[in-house]
Amino acid sequence: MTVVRVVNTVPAERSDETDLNWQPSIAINPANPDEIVVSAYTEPPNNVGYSYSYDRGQNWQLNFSEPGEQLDQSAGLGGSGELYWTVAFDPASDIPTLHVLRTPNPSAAGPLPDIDTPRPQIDQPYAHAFTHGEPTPPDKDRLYVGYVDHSHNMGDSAIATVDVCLDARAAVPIFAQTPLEFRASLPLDGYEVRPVAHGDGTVYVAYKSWKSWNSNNVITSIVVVRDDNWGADGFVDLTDPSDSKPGRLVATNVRINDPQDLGGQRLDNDLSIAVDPGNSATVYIVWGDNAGPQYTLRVHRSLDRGNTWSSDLLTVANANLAGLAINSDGRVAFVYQQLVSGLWETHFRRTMDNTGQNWDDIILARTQTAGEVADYSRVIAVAKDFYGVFPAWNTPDPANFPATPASPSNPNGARFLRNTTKAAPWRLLGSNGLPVAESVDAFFYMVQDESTPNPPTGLTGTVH
Amino acid sequence: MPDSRPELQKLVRDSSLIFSGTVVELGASSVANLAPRDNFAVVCVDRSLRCDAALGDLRRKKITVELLDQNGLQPDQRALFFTLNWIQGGGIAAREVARMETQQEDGVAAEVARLPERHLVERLADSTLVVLAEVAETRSTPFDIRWRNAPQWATASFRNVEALQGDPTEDIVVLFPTSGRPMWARAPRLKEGQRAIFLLHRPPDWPPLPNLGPNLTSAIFTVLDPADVEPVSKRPLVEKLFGQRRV
Repeated sequence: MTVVRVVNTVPAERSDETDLNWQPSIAINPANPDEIVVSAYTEPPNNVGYSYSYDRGQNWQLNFSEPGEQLDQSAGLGGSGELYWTVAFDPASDIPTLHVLRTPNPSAAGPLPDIDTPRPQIDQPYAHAFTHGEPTPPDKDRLYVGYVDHSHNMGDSAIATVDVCLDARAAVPIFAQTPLEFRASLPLDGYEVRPVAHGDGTVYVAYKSWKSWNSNNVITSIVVVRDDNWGADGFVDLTDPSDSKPGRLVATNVRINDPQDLGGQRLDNDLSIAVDPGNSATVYIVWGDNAGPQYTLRVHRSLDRGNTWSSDLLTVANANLAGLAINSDGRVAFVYQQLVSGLWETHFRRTMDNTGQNWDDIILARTQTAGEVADYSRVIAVAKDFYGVFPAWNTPDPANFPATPASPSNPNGARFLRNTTKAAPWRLLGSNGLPVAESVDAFFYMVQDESTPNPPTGLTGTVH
Repeated sequence: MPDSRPELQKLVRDSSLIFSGTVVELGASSVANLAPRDNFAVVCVDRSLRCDAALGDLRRKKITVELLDQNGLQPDQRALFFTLNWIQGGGIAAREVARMETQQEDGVAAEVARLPERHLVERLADSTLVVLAEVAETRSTPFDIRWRNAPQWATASFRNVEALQGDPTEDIVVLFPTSGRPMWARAPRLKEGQRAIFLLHRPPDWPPLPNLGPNLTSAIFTVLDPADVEPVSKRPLVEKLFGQRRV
């Protein structure tokens, strides 16, 4: 059995907020999952913080730290609680510039120092922090920051890149900027660059290598590179049999109808990869394509370190914001939002056996569409539990949260910290008790194994 | 305490949370996840002069202030706090950047009210050309698929152009974003027939401009800030602000 919790992350103090909270992403302290960070951003200039929870997601605070107009961002947390916050922003120019910021105290951070060379002209940073238990303490935090680099060739190329740091807690961390494209001389790689590490030193990165594009669609390869030495050797350890070059071509000639949209959400940003923490040979991947009449998410896997890949294990039509994670039992979680009868359904699914073909299905939310709200979502496993975040319209109606029915302690189904009515009509309330406009908020969720101790607040979720 | 006009302007501009309040307790914290420190003061808000709209009405709420200088404040003392947002959730905390006597409260409130005007001064100072004109035509440009956050530029041409500042020696083409993504959401959207005052700026270095054709002889500008498009009724204000110094 598992326990499901869903929490709106906007604190009570910000009950008058009406902003779109764009593209939430999540980080968990693997050694202390009470510590969680959710990053999201809103229209400038009020976008200067990240959300932090110290009690496993039951309560949230917005922490402000840096002046500047935040753009794409994501965060990672090390086992010591060190926060690595990768943010594209620059208060001094219009050029999106990646900054990697660090603090040992994410609960009350002030101004944060840069620990990597700022990288101008990048898109969609994605942080993956991995704490490795060294033979002699202290443990080391490996940090992998994937992004697309537009800074070469007068902006006419887009190069899938990962910044690798093998000791991110060091006084002066060293980052190796590592381009991943081994085939094209003038690459135009897709938006998603997704690193994931395993405790034996294996690091996989998934990215898209575009072959052509026009105003109706993109034709791309789905590529996985691997490095067997923590990313220190340039990601050349997995080659493709077709040309012996680094980067296994998991799928080729994949058509995606970018820039078309689904329920207002732009297509072509659903690449996610996960490695089994108990066996680095087992890797799952998901992407979306328009091979059929509908945009479809496809889950595949490799059981031999990325050398060979399955056919479709699971397909989901009319869905996006895909995310994958694998827990310590080898159980795979697959999260996405599916457009059903004009509403977004946020699904959380897990493998029921080791075939990879049988999945359960928990609907975390069913909410109205809201235009474009995110490029991706994220789910993370810690031990047997899964944690994630998704964007959704914030009407506090318990009918919108099927996995967490209303209870006396949670009349809105999901837990809302911001002011709401506690009975129909379901409305958000401002600090003055009057209704405020609805918008899109970040919703945290946790799918907890029954053997995991409850969060410090003792708040119970819904048993599934 | 800074009280000369330029210093006050800068202080108001750079402080995200400004309020007058009464000190409730020193060395304490009103935030659930923030342990007390010697340099903290819990302050009850009497009047909010500048704050994030998401916070709503702050009157009578407690804010934990990380003081610049813990000396000089006493319980029950009133003061005017210039702070930066710090923590919002389980209470509110802010980091002090300056403090004034409450006698200056109305002056500071007036300076806060002038912030939009100050911002307009900055946009005017940054602009290459200011015109009163009518949008003759707008056109979309090919969808830029390369960058997920591309502005998806559209172009506007003008007619009945009257220069208010600068010299429009060439035809004018104005680029404006159509993307609804957060970084472009506040940018003005121009419409055919729209008559307004336009603060025109040279294009930024990034993102790359659309290919507008090989024979383009027009001068290219952008409008990216809400203040870059002002109603015609604001002409007297705009002309009054020409040449004013930015802070």
